Amino acid sequence: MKGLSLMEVLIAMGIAIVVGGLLLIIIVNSAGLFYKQSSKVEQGRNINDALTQIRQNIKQSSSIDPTSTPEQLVLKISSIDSSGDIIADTFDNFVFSKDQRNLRFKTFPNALSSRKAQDQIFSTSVDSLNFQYLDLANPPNEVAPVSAVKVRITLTLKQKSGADYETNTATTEASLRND
Amino acid sequence: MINKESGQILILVFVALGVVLFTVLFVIAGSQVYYQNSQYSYNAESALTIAEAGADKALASLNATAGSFNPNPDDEVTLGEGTFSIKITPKSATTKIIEATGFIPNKANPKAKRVVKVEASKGIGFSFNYGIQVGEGGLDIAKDSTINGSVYSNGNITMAQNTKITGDAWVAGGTAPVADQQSDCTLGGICQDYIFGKTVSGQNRQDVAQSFKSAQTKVINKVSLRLKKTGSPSNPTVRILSNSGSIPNKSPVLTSGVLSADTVTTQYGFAEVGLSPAYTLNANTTYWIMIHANSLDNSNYWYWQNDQSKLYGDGEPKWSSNWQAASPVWTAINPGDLDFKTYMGGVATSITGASGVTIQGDAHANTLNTLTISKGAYYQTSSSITADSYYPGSADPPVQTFPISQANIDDWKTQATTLPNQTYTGDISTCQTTLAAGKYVGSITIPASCTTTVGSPIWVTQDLHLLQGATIKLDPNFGAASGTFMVDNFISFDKDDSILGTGTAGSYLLLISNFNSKDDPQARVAIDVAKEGNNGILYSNLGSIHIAKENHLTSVTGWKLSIDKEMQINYDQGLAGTFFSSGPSGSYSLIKGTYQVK
Repeated sequence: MKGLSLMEVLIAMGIAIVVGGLLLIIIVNSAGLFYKQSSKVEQGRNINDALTQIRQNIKQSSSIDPTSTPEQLVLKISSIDSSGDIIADTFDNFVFSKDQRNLRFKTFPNALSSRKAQDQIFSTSVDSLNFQYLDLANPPNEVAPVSAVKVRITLTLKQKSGADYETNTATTEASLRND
Repeated sequence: MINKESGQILILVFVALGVVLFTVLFVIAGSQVYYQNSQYSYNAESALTIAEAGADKALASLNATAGSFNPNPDDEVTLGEGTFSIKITPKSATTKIIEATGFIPNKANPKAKRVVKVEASKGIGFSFNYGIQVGEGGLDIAKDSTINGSVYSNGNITMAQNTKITGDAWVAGGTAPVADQQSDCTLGGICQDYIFGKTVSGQNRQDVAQSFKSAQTKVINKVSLRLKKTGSPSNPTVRILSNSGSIPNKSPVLTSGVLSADTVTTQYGFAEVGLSPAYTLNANTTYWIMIHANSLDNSNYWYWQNDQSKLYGDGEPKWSSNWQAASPVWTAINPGDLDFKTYMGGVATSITGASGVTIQGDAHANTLNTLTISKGAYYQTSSSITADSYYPGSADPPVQTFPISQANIDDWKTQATTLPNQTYTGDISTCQTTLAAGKYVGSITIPASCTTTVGSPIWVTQDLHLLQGATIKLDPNFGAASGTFMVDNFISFDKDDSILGTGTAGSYLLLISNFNSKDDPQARVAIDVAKEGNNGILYSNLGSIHIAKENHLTSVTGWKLSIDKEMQINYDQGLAGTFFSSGPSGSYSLIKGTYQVK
């Protein structure tokens, strides 16, 4: 039986190491790209959905509660009856806040309201959430929450993506239509 | 011998290719989902914007057709990338529900759909943002008295021994009582209209400015502009700008304020705008008052009264289509000076206490004297104060204009006068179960324990006296709307008197005295609440209000306020968006608080 010469074994091992190394690099890079892009897509969707929800609720709110802070927005939204009609001078509280790394949305309906209490999480990778309370001036000035007619929201999501962190920031503004 | 192990590297390559392929496909699929999600968000936002445009269109059409606009809900109107349809349902004789639906791209195959529902009514809305608001006359609180609530005053607050304010106390930077500069065509000039906020003869008049020269080097606190309006233009911003080559210098904006469109009516009147932050003008230097209409709209626009004879002489008016353009073009309005008044500040205002005086919230004023403040003290000068925290060097709070202007009151008077067969001449002193809206030439006395149901607006040319236990109540047919009861001279309360809305939440009856205590040589009181147990909303632009004993009021707004005992303010959140119904000739306005997205 004819065996392999030492030279043949060395050449074969060399080729195997080079090819294996290249394949490993491809797989690692591919996995990195996969995590990075998946993370970007998920963050983008989270930001879209969260900011759309926040904007829509700001537009409907009658006022901003004085307990609001740069990290917590408390909106007073008119309560509705079972027909979906507004109940005068009765308000439900909608709260958007950063709870550790979660963007949490909670509702506290008035006893007369037909809305159900909710506790939802829009994102689990919040790095920072900032609410700025603005007046009507151009450019707008920052004012106390109770005096605000417009809110600027800046949301930053940060997620581990492979060895690195993926960060995504979006800013939007909405005016109170019922103020 | 044949090599049975051939092709093993190929398997590894296939594995690697499989991983790469999976990754690529997954990323592409994720991107596709992200694209669709973004597209949906964009479409939903566009549909909402189009629905809002539909609601605006419905409101403008209601006003253009005297309320008869009633479109077919199946009709579609194309706007931009989508369409909208409008449904109008009557809610009451004066209120309609507007439901506007926006579709992207159309109703037949919508990718996104949003419904905006809002109510419109004949009348006008006002915001009473403070339980107690006092003008330049200031607030005097007599010994051992208490105010349960917060106060905003444009004049000094003086608190005698052992008095207390349980909320915040604000005193604005002091304003000189007379205008520093003014142009007023009614003082012998030639008055004419100058329209802006719409396209006139091909001119896109979105920005209008009037220059002036300050007589003093002082802070400017507020401006008044003689305006009227057509339709319902939105609140414009008024800016003070420096002069650069005989045109307004767009940057920096020296100071600014927002004009409440509600205080402007279809008849000319001076509308006040408080300015913030404080800015010091230099004497004999040219500055510009510039007003920017938020849009060019043929249905909702402004008039600024122009003095064709140029009695003022120290300025000139100009217009522009875009004051913020890289090189803004300003065109002279010849001949004329637009009517305005500028009021300077720099008058040190204060909250002055005595022993045992407490403010349980924050205290804001230029000068704080002899006070115990439970929270923050915000001031420039202080003496003998104790507080939880201290903020020396704080800017003076801005002047807050009153929510209802003289033009609003004049408008209601006109409505009262023009109602058919509703002018009554002679004093009334017997118990009337009802008083219809209209003008009453003379005085009215509501006898003890008498309940009178009233329409709105009511204008009494002399006095109103309420004897013990008297009640004035707004007609229940007004529903959630509010009403006004105006008296040219004095209003007096006795004991346990009530001024009530319809009983529906959000409805109030506003009692207004037009008496001018400010210029009265005897400084007589416009509204006198002599005894205890009274309630209601009291308002006087230029009159002083005196509260003698323990009373529970909803809101008090007056040029000057003096309190002898205890006044409790039960401020109602609904006052921040009060809607005052007008007569059949009124135009439709959106009712704040009724906007819903479905």
